[in-house]
Amino acid sequence: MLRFITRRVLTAVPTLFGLSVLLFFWVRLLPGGPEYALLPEDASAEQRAALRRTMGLDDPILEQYGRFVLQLLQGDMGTSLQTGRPVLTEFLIKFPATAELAAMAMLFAVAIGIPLGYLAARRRGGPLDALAVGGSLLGICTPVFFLAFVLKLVFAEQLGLFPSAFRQSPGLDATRITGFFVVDGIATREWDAAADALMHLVLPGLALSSIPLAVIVRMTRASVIEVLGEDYVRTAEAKGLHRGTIRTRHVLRNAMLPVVTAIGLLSGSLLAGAVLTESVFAFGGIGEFIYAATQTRDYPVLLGFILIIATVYVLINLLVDISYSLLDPRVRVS
Amino acid sequence: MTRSPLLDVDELSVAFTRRRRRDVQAVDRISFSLDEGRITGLVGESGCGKSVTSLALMGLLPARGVRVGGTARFRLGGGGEADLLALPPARMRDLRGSEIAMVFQDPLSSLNPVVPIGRQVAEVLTRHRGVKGAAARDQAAELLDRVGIPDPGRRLREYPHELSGGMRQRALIAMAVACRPRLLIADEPTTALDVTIQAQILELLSGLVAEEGTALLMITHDLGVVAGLCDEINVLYSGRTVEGAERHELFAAPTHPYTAGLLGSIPRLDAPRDEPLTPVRGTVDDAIAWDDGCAFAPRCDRFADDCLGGPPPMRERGAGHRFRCLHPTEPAPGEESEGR
Repeated sequence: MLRFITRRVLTAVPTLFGLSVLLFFWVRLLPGGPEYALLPEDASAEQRAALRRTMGLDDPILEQYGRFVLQLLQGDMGTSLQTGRPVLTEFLIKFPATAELAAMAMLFAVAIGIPLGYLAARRRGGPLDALAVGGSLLGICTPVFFLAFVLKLVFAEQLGLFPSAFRQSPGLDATRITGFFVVDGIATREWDAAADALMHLVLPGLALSSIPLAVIVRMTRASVIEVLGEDYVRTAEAKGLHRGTIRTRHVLRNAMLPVVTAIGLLSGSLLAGAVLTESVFAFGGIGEFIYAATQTRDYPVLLGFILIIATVYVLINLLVDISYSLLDPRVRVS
Repeated sequence: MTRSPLLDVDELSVAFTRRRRRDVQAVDRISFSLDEGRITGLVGESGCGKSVTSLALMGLLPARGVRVGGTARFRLGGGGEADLLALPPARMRDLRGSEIAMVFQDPLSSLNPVVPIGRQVAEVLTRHRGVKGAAARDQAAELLDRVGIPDPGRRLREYPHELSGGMRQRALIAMAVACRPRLLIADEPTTALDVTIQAQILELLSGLVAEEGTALLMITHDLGVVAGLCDEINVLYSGRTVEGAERHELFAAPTHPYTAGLLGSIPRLDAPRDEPLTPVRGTVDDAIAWDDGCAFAPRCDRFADDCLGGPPPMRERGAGHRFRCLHPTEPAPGEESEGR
């Protein structure tokens, strides 16, 4: 198992390196540069050119890339041009919000999607199946920001069931340790703070979960239908096993294999795709920050954030591969 | 007074209903009986209804789109009788795996790929005997040992893909016999295996039957398999029994042209080298509906016009030898041979 993990980590290195090359040149393809965002509008062309020179942006591009990589290898991701703080510091401030949101969305998607997909498969052709299939189509088609707006309007503003913005109620004095508000609340036993943070996660979590939920419902349904037709399920029936045993040990354990892979792929898209939901609920995660960085051509932030997200994504998929190999002995590497 | 048979199947019918189309009559009023310690063969080409028969007896046919008729009276272990075709699903679930068990055709696909072999054996014991944990594991190891799997302690922890084809079939048999069922159904248990392994598996099955006094229903398309194994053989064609007899009687005097054809198509070591095999002409798809006459008529060498005058009745020929043919290859006692 250790060798398997080591090999997977090592194969991730060239992937991330390739991504860094691609990103570096891609970001530079954006027209304009930070000199427009950093200097006032009435700055002269000479002033802008001078700023570019001092920032080293006029040096040969390969030299700039070399400098970037050298810094990176020393653990230095540069400083944000907008805020003047190190990129890594900025990331650690913004990331918990997005991670909590993504985790909440995935929790919704898995907790609703897998049972719903299973029931739809079992009652194939029935009303629940039609609802699941139709609903998931709707979930995939509805733009996330639109759904976020509707949820906010109905459940926060009209019914007042959930807070409509931010990660925590204003004025709440909570202890900060990790920046993950729910985790902090639990760790410090400030239960009301944890509950408050959780309530703030419900609506944005639901909005963000729509696409992964739809995908998981569909995949679970298709996978369960396939497994139900397998000979080993008939064998389990022939043994007279209880329906619950057949469901968990023989049907779901096999049907979950493709779904687990999908969960890994989807979680990456949640981290990178939370920006619209974050802005509707003024959540202040990495999405908003990356958007702002794009506007101001904040090269170090763009590069650093996307590279870290890619690394997190690689790690999540490594975890998925490990859990997959625990679920399926056929892919286990001895 | 003679004791009633362990399982008495009377006029079993299975039809698959289709929307806006005619039903498919997969099994049409089949009758046979099974007894302790005896092996009964159900022989026929694919599509003759033999697997559907086994699934019907196990209660494993889908709940919707199937119409089952007839009775299958089973003498219960605790005394009393039950009609397997009419039992409520929950009662049937209690019987399956404990009193009635089944060995399937393709051992690889019939085993759960992600659950260790030992667990798949032990779960039957847990379900029907309430044996759990280490005790269940020990019993599972004993069972694997009993069906001839070497080093059972290690094999318990292995997964189906780590076992050879023959081992997998042995493991499936171990699961089936775990609770000492009184009726065992084996549906083509050797089809997916190579020839040397086939013989071993058949030997294992007949050994278990002899030791435990289990009744074995052997379903196969291969008369060669049942030749050395079965006490009694029923030949099916297109959903009906066309001939049934004790093994020696059937091989000595195959009376239905289909049975004779099947026997003629088995290669024999003692036949002259240059003698060609005689296959049965055509395929099962050539069958006509029994209502219109003999379903085998289109493929039959002894076909005559009266073969199409409605379904031929079942006739008797000596003790327990039944056949369904107007122009049999062997004359019934008191009849002149047609000798063609």
